[in-house]
Amino acid sequence: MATLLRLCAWVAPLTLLGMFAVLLRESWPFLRAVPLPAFLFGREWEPPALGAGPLFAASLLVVGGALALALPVGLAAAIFLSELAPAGLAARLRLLLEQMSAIPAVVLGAAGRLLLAPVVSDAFGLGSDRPVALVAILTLAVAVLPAFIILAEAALAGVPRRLREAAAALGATRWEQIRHAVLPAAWPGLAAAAALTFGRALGESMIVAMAAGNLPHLPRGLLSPVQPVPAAIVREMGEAEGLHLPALFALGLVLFLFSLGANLLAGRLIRRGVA
Amino acid sequence: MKCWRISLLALALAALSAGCGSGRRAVHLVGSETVLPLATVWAEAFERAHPGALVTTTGGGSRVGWRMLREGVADVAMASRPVDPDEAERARAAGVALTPHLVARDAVVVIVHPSNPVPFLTYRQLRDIYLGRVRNWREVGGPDRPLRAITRSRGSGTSQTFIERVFAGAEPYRERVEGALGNGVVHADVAADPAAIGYIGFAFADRRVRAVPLAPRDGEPPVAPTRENITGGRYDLVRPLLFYTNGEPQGVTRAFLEFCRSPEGQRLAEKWGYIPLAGR
Repeated sequence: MATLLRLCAWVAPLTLLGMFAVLLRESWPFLRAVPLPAFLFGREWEPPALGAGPLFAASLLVVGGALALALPVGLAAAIFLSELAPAGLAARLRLLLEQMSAIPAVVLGAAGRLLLAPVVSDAFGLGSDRPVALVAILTLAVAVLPAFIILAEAALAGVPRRLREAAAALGATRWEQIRHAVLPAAWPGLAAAAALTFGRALGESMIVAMAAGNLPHLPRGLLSPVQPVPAAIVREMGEAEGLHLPALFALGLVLFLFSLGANLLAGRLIRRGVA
Repeated sequence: MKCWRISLLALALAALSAGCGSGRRAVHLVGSETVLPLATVWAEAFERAHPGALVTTTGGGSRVGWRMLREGVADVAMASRPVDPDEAERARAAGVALTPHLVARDAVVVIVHPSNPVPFLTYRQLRDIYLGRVRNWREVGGPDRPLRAITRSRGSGTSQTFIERVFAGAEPYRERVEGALGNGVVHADVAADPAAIGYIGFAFADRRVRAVPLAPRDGEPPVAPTRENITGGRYDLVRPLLFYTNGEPQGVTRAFLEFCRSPEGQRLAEKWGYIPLAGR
């Protein structure tokens, strides 16, 4: 029985290892043929030209934009839930957040494309409902927000009550308690939440495939159509030929390494917080 | 992601065929998104006429169909264009004798929002639009409003037909405009956006979009994409819809192909907006 349990415990790490091996094996013909800088920084993604610079730039723009919106808003919401909201209200909001985080990404992507794109178009006078980077940013921010709030609130709630009480005993107001006692103590957990959210946003594929515009060019700002890495994988996997297919696996490998890095960082931060 | 979807699909199909035993009463079709709706209609009619037979249909694009046929997962690859030399070579290398069967025809139509009065477009104008050189409808004989061009990914037969014909011998095509996944998405985008232009299979065009007459060469009279012009051979963007099998089909697969090409099958094709084979 113990052997069985041990086997089960190894399923996840072995899967991870297996995924890495598969991604490496499938992308190897491409990685061997094309120098790494030409792949990572090449400016033209137009098979057979396989410079993924525009895709990585698009991912950076979209993920960076989404986090720039979601993290401050999410942190504020988490502070409210953990420190200020009455217990009943907080419980109901939490339930709502959990519901929100369960909305399938493809639904959010469709909503971004069909509902948000026309709004963005009107607001900026684009003249057409074309999905652009900003649409993907807003949609992605909405997608990652609930989970980030839940994680961030958990980090805040983990701060020992006696820290708050000590601050209060020193005459700190509610705000000063939060600012000087709770946030500093919670920051490793908050940073870990941010790192996990980064990983999630980076790998999110359906939203960017539907709501970013799918044009594999270097982004020319928030109002240009872009094609982030996961969108390229989704869109081109069925049609890729020659080195294009291994190149898509190489894109997957890069995403995998970044997400893994973000998760490892998060784990490290959490351990440091505990220690 | 698509690759996982495809491997899942492969697994599911493998399980299905295993479950059906050695009787081979099952036919699995995989491939073109354009052919998919018609193949599904045919499958249902065929199953009604042949109790016990099972015909499954799955999309993914023409290229996915050939791959699944090559890997022995599909019995029939659905395609909206003839196989290209690279793909044919891959099949040969895998010991698969790709055998085409013409089952119907389809036209690619260029669509705009119903409120767009642009009278017609020439292939030269389409090239300018799809290379991103035209940004306003005024430049191609339309109203003064921004222009948003939508294309499909290059693996789609619809996109191949469009690009090959419109760009043939003129200049190389490069991806300069936004991409969308599937006929349905292009249709929905164009139906909702007065600025948009896209191209889809004739069977997908309805009243919510307007199909624009096209002139392959400047100065030629434009030809409207009507059923008469398409069947009469006057409209240029017509492509064959093909079923590929590995060698000559046998058993249920053969019966199914015969049904698709029969008067009854061709009547269904016409009813669902496809172009039936001539001289049926």
